[in-house]
Amino acid sequence: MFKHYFILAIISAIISSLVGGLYASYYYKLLFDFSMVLPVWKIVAVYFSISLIAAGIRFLFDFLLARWGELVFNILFGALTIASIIHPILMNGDFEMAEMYPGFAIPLYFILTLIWLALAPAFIKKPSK
Amino acid sequence: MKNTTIYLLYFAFLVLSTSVALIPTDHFEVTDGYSIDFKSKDPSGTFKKMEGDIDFDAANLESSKFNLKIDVSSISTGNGMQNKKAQTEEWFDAKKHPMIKFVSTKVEKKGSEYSIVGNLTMKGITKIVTIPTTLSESGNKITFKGNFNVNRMDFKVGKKSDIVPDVMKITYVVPAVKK
Repeated sequence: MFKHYFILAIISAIISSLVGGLYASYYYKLLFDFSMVLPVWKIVAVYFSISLIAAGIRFLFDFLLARWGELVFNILFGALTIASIIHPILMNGDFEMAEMYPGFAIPLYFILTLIWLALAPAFIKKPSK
Repeated sequence: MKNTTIYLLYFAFLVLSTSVALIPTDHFEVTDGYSIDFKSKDPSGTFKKMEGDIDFDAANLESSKFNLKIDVSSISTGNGMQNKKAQTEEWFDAKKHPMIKFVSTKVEKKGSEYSIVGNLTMKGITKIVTIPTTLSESGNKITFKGNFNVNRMDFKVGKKSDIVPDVMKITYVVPAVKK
């Protein structure tokens, strides 16, 4: 039922937002304030957006690929997450301490995926073999 | 809950979060033409060097942020002796605290004006101040103008004096270009 996928998306996004928001807030306070480049509200919005998109894709995969859906989705989600870190690495930012930005941003790219994949078995039942 | 309600909720959340995520953060950098003047019975003058970044989006004030730094050594009162004295330990202590910093925490609109609330750090002491500002835009340039008062005793800048008043009137013009 799609309801479980939707709840998974919302709960993952809330937990990720808390973790990512706390991480970013402390980083801005203790090391360097990148809130000009990446404000906390944007991290929260991106987590919600990606979490919901992931839930829709996972639902579609489970529907179309039955028991292979989970495996294909997990591989794809993991691969896209790893590939996405190229964005902060190649980002040629014209702002103060831009060289520190990838080190700050990369952990944020993994938070949602890790939480989403960790919680998924609790919400989505495996199709019977 | 019916499936259609779930689908509707899903799309509503998806559209909302994606549109918020795609809101651009308008980023500006302080450019030439700025002035930070202070005025009192005696002395009066200006700070000649400042830098900073501004995120400003009139449609999304919650994401707006000001991060400005003024170089204490650039103080100019029109009197060389006073300039040197201003940098001593008794006044700005430029060696230990070379920059006056302002980092905003909240930007609000009040009628046709804006109000920037933030932390002003001078001589290592941070106080919350509210800076009223008016805004003018032209092309990719944005200019903030206004004035506000600062009590130098709050920041332990100088000692109580009959000649130098405690409260200084700060008048500023800060132009910034979109990056």
